[in-house]
Amino acid sequence: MSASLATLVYAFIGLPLIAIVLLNLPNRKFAEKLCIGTGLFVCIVQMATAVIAVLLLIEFNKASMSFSQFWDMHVADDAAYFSVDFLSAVCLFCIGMVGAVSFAAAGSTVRDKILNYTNMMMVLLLGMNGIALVTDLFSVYVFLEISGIASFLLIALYRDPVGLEGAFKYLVMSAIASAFILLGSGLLFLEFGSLRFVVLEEMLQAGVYNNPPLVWLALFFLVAGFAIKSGNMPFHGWLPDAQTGAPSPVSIMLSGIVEQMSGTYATMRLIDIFLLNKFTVVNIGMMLLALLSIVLGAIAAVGQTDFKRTLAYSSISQIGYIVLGISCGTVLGYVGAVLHFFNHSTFKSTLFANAAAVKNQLHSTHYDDLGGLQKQMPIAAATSVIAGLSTAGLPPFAGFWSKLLIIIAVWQTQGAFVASVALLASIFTLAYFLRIQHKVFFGPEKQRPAVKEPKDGIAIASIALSVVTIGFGILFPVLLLALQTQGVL
Amino acid sequence: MNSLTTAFFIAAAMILFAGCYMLVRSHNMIRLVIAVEVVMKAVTLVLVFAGYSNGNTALSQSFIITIIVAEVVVAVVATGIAIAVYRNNGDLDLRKLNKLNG
Amino acid sequence: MLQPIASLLTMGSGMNLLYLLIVVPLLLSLLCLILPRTQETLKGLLFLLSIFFNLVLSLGLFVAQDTTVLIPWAGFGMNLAIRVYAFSRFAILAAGCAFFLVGLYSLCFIKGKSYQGGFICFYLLLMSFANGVFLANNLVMLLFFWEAIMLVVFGMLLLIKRPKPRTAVKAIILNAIADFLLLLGIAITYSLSGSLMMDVISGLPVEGAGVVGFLCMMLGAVGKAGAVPFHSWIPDAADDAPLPFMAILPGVLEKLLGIYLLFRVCVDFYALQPGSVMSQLVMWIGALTLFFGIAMALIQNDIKRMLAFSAVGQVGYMVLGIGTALPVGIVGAVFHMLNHAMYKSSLFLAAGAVEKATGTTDLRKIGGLGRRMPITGCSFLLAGFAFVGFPGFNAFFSKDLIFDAALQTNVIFYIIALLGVFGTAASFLKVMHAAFFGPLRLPQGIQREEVREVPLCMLLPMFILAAGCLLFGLFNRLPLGVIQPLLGERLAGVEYAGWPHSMLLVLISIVCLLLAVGNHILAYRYTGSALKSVDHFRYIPGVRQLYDAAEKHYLDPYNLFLSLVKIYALVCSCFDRMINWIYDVLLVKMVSFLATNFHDFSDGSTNRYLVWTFSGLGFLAVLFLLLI
Repeated sequence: MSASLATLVYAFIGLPLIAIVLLNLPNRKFAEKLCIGTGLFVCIVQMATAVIAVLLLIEFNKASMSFSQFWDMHVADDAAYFSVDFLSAVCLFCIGMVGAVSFAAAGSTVRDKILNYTNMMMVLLLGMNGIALVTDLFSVYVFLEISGIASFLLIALYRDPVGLEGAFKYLVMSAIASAFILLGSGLLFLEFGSLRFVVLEEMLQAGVYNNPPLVWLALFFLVAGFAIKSGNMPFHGWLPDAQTGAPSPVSIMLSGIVEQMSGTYATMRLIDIFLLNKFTVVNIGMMLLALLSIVLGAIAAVGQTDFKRTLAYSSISQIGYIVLGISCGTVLGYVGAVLHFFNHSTFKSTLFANAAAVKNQLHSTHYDDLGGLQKQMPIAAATSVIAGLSTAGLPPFAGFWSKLLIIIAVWQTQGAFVASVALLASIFTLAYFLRIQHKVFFGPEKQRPAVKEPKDGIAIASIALSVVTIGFGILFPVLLLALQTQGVL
Repeated sequence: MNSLTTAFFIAAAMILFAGCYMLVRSHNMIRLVIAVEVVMKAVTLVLVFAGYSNGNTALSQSFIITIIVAEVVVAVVATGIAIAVYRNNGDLDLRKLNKLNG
Repeated sequence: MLQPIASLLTMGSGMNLLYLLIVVPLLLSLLCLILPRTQETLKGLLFLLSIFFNLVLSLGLFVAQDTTVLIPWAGFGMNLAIRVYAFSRFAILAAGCAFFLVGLYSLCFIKGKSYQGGFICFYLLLMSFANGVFLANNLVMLLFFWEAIMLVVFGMLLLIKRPKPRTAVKAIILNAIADFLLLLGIAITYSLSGSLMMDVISGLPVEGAGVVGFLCMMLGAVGKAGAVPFHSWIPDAADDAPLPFMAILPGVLEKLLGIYLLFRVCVDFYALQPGSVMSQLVMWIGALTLFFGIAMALIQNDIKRMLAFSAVGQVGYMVLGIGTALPVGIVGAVFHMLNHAMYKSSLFLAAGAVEKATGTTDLRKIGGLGRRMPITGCSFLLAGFAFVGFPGFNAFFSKDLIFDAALQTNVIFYIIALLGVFGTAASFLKVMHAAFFGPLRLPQGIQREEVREVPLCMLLPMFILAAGCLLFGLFNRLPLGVIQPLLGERLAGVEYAGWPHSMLLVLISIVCLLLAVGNHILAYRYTGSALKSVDHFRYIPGVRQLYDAAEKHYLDPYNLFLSLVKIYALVCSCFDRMINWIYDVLLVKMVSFLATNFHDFSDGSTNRYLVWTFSGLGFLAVLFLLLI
C-alpha cells in the first residue's frame, strides 16, 4: 500500500520537479525539442495516476489515503502530510487534462519561448497539485503562492503590454486575496491552535469557542479571500484582463484550472470543514455572490467585443454556478459543484483552445477581425459549438447534468426564486454563446487572406475534449450510479 | 491579556486599513507593491500574536518566515513587471494601464 | 324466403353478422380505394355487389326480431352496442333501398368521369356509416358514425376539383358546429340519465340542464338534416358536388339521419310536451326553415339549386311535425321523411339525367326537353306530383297529417305551411314547364341529335322511385303500418291510414294547389316565359330586400360566423404580437442596455477594480453582521 502511495506522491509532486531539473540540464536547443513531449508526458501520467488513485480508493474502500514523503507522519503529531480523497482525485485529473491541452496548444503558439513556458508550467502544476493534496490551511497558502507566481510569470511571458497589464492586475488582487486568506488562517490559528483540517473539523464540530467573534471574522476573511481568488462578481476585476492578456495556452490553463483550484476547490474544502449547515451566513453570502456572478457575468459576456474576454466573463458565470452548488450545503449540491468543476474545465478549455487556434491564424481575437471562419476552421467551429452547448446546459452534453444537479439542490435548499434566476441565466448563457458563434464562426465572411486550420495539437486537443464532453454527458447517469454503489460519494 | 489582545488587534487593523487605503488611492505601480507589502505586515502581526497567545511560537515563526519568503518572491515578480511596463510605456502610471477594458 | 337471412342475422352468436352491415361496405370501400385506377369494371362490380348485399341484409333485418348486442369497448359506458328495433329496421331498409337505387343510377352516371373511383369509395363508406348510425344503441357509437359521415361528405365535396374548396370547408364547418352541439348534448344527457345506452335513456324532463341538453341535441340533429341555420352549404353543394351525391345525401340520407335522431331525442330521450316552450322553439325552427327554403327555391333558375333549396324547405315540414309533439304530427313527420326521400331522390335523378344529356341544368340555357327525353319528363312529373302534394300521392297524406298537427298547435304554423305548399307548387311548375315543355333550347355546342334519353340503368331507379311515391300514396296503410308502431303506446289506438280525417284540410290544400297553378298560367301568359312566372313575387317590396340580401349571402349564417371568426383572429394576432414584442424587443433592449453599461463601467483601471473589491468586502461584512 505504501509503495503505491509513494508512487502517487512521485507522480504528483515529484514528477514536475524532476521534469524541471531534467529539462534544464541539456543546452537550450536540445531541451526545446523535448519540452512539449515532457509536458504531455507529465500531464498524461498525472491523469492516469488520478484514475488509479480513484480505483485504489474504491478498492480499499477508504474515504482518503494519507501519505507523507519526507517524514513519517505518525511520529510528529503536527506534521503536515498529503492526502488524496475523491475530490482531490477529480481535481488532479482535471489539472492533468487541462495541462495536457495547454501543452498541445503550446506547440504552435508559444514555440519561441517553449522552454520558459514549460518550466513555469511545471511549477504551476506543482503548485496546483499541492493545493489538491495538502491537509492544512497554511500549506494551502504556500502552494497557492507557488501557483500564483508561476501564473504571473506565464501571463507576462512575452512582456507585451497587454500581458504585463493582465499580469500586474492579477498579481495585485491575488496578493490581497492571499493576505486575506492568511488573515483568516491566522485568526483560526489564534482560536484553535492548529491549522490542520482534521483538527479544525473537530473543534468546529464541538462548537466550543473561546472567542466566537474571532471565528466569524476568520470565516469572513477566508470566504472573501477565496472569492477574490476564484473571481466572483464584485471581485472579478482581474479575471477578464488576465485571461485576455495571457498567451493562448496560458489562458487555457488559467481559466480551465487555476481559478478553480485556487478559489473554488479551497472553498469546497472549507465547506467540508466548516460543516455545511452550521454556518448559514456563509451559505447565504456565497449564494448571493454566486447569483451576482452568474447573472452579471452572463449579461456582461453578451456585450463584449473580444472573443477571449467573452470567454472570461463566461468563466465568471460558470464559476458562479459552482459556488452556488457549494452554497447549498447538501450532498447533491456538492456533487453538482464538483461535476460542474470538471465540466467547466472541459468545455472552457475547448473554447479557449478554439480561441488559440483562431488567434494563431488571425493574430487577433477581436470580433471585428473575425467572422465566418467556419469554412476554413471546421474543427474549431464544431468543437466550439459542442462546448458552447455544454456551457448552456443542453442535454445530452455534460453541462446539462451538472447544471441540473445544482439547480435541483438550490431548489431544495435556497428556494424557488434563486433556482429560477439561475435557470433563467441559462438564457443569457445561450445568448452570448450564440453571439460568439455568430461573430466568430458562422457569421458573414470578411475579406482576409486565407487561413487554414491548425491541424496539430490544438485540433487534437479540442476533438478529444469534445469527445469527453459528449461521452460524459451520455454516460453520466451510469457513472453516478456506479460511484454511488461503490460508496465513494 | 485582554488589553494586549485589543491593542494588537487595533494595531493590526490600522495597518490593514492603511495598506488598503494606499492600494485604492495610489496610481504608481511601485506604490501598489508597497501597499501589498504593508497589508502583508498586518497579517504577519496577527500571526505573531496568534503564536504568542497559543504558546506555539515555533509554529508561528515558521509560518511567518514562509510568508515572508513568498511575499518577497511576489514583490520581486511585481517589480519585474513594473520595470517591463516602464520600458514599454515610459512611466509607472497605473492609469495608463487600461488597454484591457470593457 | 327472408326468414333464413333474418334468423342468421339475429342469432345469438351471429351478432357478428349484424356488424356485417357496417363492416362489409367499409371493407369493400377500402378495397376500391386500394385498387388502381384502371380497374374500373372491377370496382363497379364490387360496388354493385356491395349495394345489393346491403339491400338483401336490410330486407332480412326488416323481418327479424328485435335484438340488442353489446361489446364492451372503452370504459365509462362506451360500448359498441347495436340494437335492432322498429325504427332502426325501417330506417335501414329505407336507406338500403335508396342506396341501391341511387347506386345503380350512379354507376351509369359517373362512368367515364374523373371522380369515379373516389365516388364509389365514398359512397360505400357512406352506406357503412349510415348503417352504423341506425344500428347504434350507444350514444358514443352514434356520434362516432355521425362524425364519420361528416368526413365522408367533406371528401365527396372535394371530388370535383375546384380552385378553392369553398363548399367543402363550409360544409365541414357547419356540420362540425352541429356535431359539437350534439357532443355537448350527449354529455349533458349522459349526466342527466347516467347511461349512454339509447334504449335505457327515456323520458328525461325538459327543464334545467335538460333544456340545454335537449337544445343541443336537437340542434345537432336538425343541423345534420339541413335546417336553418345549418343549411347554407346545400345549395352550394348543388353546384359543386357530383349529382348522385346530391341525390343521396341531401335528398335521402340527411333527412333520414336527422329526423331519426330528432325523433329519438324528442320522443324517446326527452319528454317533449306539446305546447311547451321547447316545442314552440322546434316548431319555429321548422317554420323558419320551411319559409326560407321555399322562398329561395322560388327564385332559382337552375333545377339542381331549386331542388336543393326545396330540400331545405321540406325539412322544415318534418321538424315542424316533430316539434308539435303530437302523435299525429310525429307520424306525419316520419312519413314525410320517407316520402321526401323517395320523391326528392327521384327528382334529383331526373335532373341528373338532364345534366348527362345536355351537360347543364341551368334553365336559362336549356328548355323544352320533353320531346327528346319523354321518360325522364314523365318521371319528373310523377315525382313532382308527389313533391307538391297532389292528392293520391304519398306526400299529400304526410303533409296533411302535419297540417293537422300544426293547426292543433297554432294557426300561424298552419298558414306558413300552406304558404309552403303554394311556393312548392309554384316553383315546381316553373321548373317543370321551363325544362320539359315548350320549344327546345339547347346550350352552345350541343346538337339536337345528341340529346336523347339516358340509358336504362339511370331511367329505372328514378322511375321506380316515382312510382313508389304513387304506390305509397294509394296504399298508405303499408308505410304507415310500419311507422305508427314507432310511437308505441302514445298513439292511443288512433289510425292514420286511409283517407285523411278532415275534409276541410284537404279542401284547403287543393285550393292552394289550384291557386298556384292559376298563378303560373297567368304569369306565363303575362311574361311569355315559364321562368319568369314567379318573378313577380321576387319584386314585392319588403320581400325584395330579403331576396337581395339572400343573393348577396348576407343572410348566410356561415358568412356571419366567418366575420366573427375574423374578429377573433384579429384579437389573437394583436395578443401574439404583444408577446413577440416582449421577447424580441423589450428583453433584448434591456439586456443590451445592461451589457453596454457594464462595458462602460469596467474601464480597465486597477484602482477601480480594487474599489469594487473593497466594496464587495464591505457588503459581505454587512451581511455577516446582519446574520450572525
